[in-house]
Amino acid sequence: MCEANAYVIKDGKEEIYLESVDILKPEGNQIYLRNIFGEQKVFKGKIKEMSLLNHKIILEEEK
Amino acid sequence: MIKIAVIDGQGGGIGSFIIKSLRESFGDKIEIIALGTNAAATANMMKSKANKGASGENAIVWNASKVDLIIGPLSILVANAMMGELTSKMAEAVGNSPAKKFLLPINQEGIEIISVVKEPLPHLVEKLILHIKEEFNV
Repeated sequence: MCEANAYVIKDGKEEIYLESVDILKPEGNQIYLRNIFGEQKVFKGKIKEMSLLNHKIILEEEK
Repeated sequence: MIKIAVIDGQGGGIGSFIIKSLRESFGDKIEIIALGTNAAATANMMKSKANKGASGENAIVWNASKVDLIIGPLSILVANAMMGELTSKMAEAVGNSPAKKFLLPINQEGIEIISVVKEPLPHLVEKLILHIKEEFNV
């Protein structure tokens, strides 16, 4: 029910991609993300993991 | 009836969520004025059932002193916040207003308020509603 931060795994580390994500929508091989401030991003890749308790979305880049 | 101004900018998502929650909790016991720093933000807030809406610097400056309560993200007190949409005059008008201000500690300007625990927007709005109930006996 609450916003989450989206991270991308880079060199084995989690790097913040977009904070306070409100909407996350898969669109083909891309993922549309929009946060509570209205900032939008389109990520090319897939969702690796979501932890709603920790408000965390982990994204994985397409190789 | 208490008159509440909800101020937001950019996409108006935060203001829109606040208004939706206020309307669900208080129905028509309150009057909500949506003040957007731009027309898109106001339009979004109007969709959430604000009573009236107005956009831009003059609307915010004019209305800020005519309401009982101002609600919005912390950015509404910060000149040049929201990518510059929040002008110095808007911030000054909010600051000068005799209305009570209930601000949510969320912003993109890197302002951290010490001792405030970071919480998701719905939790902050729940607390905001309790605060209004206590303060105004609505």
